[in-house]
Amino acid sequence: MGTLTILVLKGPYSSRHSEFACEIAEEALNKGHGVNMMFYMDGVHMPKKGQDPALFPNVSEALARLIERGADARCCVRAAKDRGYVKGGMPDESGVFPTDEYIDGARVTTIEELGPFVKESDKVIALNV
Amino acid sequence: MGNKIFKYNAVIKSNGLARQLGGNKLSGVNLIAVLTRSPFSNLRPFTSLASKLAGQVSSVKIYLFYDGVLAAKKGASVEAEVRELTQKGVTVIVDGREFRARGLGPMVEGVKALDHPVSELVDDIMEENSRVILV
Amino acid sequence: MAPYGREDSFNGLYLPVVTVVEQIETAVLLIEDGVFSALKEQRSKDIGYPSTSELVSSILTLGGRVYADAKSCKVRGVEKGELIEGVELVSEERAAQILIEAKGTIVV
Repeated sequence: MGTLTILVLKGPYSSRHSEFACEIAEEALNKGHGVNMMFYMDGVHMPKKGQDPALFPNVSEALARLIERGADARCCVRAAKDRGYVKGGMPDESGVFPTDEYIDGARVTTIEELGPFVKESDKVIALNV
Repeated sequence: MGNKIFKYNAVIKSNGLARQLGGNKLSGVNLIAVLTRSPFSNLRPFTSLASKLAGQVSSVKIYLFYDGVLAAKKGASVEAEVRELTQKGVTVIVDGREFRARGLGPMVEGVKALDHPVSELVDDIMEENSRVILV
Repeated sequence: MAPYGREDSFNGLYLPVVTVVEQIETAVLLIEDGVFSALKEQRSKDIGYPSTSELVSSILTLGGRVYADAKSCKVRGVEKGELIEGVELVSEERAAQILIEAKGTIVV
């Protein structure tokens, strides 16, 4: 079994790419693959706590289930900070920045984490356009 | 929206050079193209790429998800392009649930409707010789 | 995407910087409005934005390759001489080959 990295560049609800990312990730986990999810640009909205869509599927809940199943979910600190999800503070020893805005298990790190993800993955896909 | 569908400006390669597969870099490669947006802004670059590569790679498969399923509607202006691709041996897979959800009526001949195409998609993505382009 | 109207161009070009630094063989393909990202005479600081041309230069300096689709340039009136040195103009066929050779493709 391999490792799939999914890069999500667009936010939830305005397009269904967040849903698609979760669907692909879930299927990959079902098949025994490892899954990394990297959120960048508006993708960093996806793990926001407290989402309560009136009519659409809740992508943060779908993401929470994926994290529980072992998906590694990270957000770019610069994009997260731009959007007000990280309010200063230094990273801990593992390079994770503090935030209380995100669902449990979604970590804020630098986009440079994408490099090792790409190197270690068998396949990389991006959802954006 | 006015954006072209097939707009790309970043390509990330893995470590090492492209593998030589036999005497031809492209033989043995399976191209997986995924379309999630409406084909009516501009399908041409997408189909042009698939068509160009159809004879050079081992196989080409196009998945139509979300608004991409509009390309499979019989009678749409892109029908001829889609049929031409299937006649060239390109496999076109449509998300059946998304197609029916949109009330699109009959489907173009030659395309394959699946109700859970993401399963096959993940198998294709993870297959060693596949190359995936997702728009 | 063209630079400065949306964040996609700048942030999209940041990704290949990350992979090149990680010593992953990296190629950037600029197509359609993306070709504007590689114009050398940009003065984006005048509007308070960091420059995409600096990112393109960084990618090249660090060992990545940057290609611009020739047809996209022609349609937009972009001449080779206006692009950062080291950016290579490619045909549609060559662009398709670059895509197919890549183990992973990120479309921005």
